[in-house]
Amino acid sequence: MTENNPRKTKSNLRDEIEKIVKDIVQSELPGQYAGHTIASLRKYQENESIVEIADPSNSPREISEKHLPAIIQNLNAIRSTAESATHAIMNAAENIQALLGMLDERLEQQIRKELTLVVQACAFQDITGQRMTRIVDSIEEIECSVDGILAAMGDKQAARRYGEMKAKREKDKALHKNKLSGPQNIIVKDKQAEIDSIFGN
Amino acid sequence: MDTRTPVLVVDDYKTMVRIIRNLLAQIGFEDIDDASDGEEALKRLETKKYGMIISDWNMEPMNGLELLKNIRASRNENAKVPFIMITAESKQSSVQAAKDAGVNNYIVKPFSADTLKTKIGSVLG
Repeated sequence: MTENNPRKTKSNLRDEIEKIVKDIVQSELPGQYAGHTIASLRKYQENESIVEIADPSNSPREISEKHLPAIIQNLNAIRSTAESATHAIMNAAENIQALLGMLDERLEQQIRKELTLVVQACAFQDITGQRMTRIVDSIEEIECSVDGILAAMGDKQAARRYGEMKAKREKDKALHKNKLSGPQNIIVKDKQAEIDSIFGN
Repeated sequence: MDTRTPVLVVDDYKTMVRIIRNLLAQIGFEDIDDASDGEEALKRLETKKYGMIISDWNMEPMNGLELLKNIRASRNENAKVPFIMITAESKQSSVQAAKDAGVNNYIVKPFSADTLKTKIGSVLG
């Protein structure tokens, strides 16, 4: 019974976000950007849309008009914050690289090695961005379906939204027909080794 | 490996271009150009001979596979240029499609600087 209790779920979500905030505080993200990220997460923590959507007393209209758009807005805000942080980290790494010539060779090599790790870690944002896009797309699909159900029940506003959203989604689908599905859901550790075997590497 | 080789990096995601350029510079490459999709890359290939292309697959309007097919079908000096595909897509059918189209190597994101260096070494010798 407790598993289905919205209050309990809300508390779990807040605990999870609190853990992420603690991780960021203990990490070495540049201060200003860590601050922005934490602020976004705090806002997300206070936003009840994710847990409220599971509340059985919600009407389909509330889900479609309020909760789903709020979730999309939050996900987009997180994506945007992560992008700003990545650019800041890359800028800092490149500025440090420009100064390396002033150091003795041993120290320069050591710092260069560490900076390589920083730069390659920044690629996380590309993968995260692709995954976020896929999640947002799925939520929009649900939003469209809910409006479709409401429209079938005679809701004129939902019928208008459904028509607009369906047309937009079909246009997007045609535009992105050459796009691949992106990162796989299951991360296979030795995927590169598997591909290498195809190439005989 | 000859790090004087001109390299063309193709990706519509600016951060990834920046990351690959940075890693290439650390390996020692100096002549690095970039393009944001297949069409822009083809324009660059009309005016300069490249020694290697590193391209993302997932781009619009022209994706990496279409770019590769266009290059291999062309009759200009870049028709046989070594081509490395870097993508988050790891389905075997997609990898095979890229291989059939003439890709020289394939890197799955996220990748390490060492993987990039190894793959470059394997195509440049």
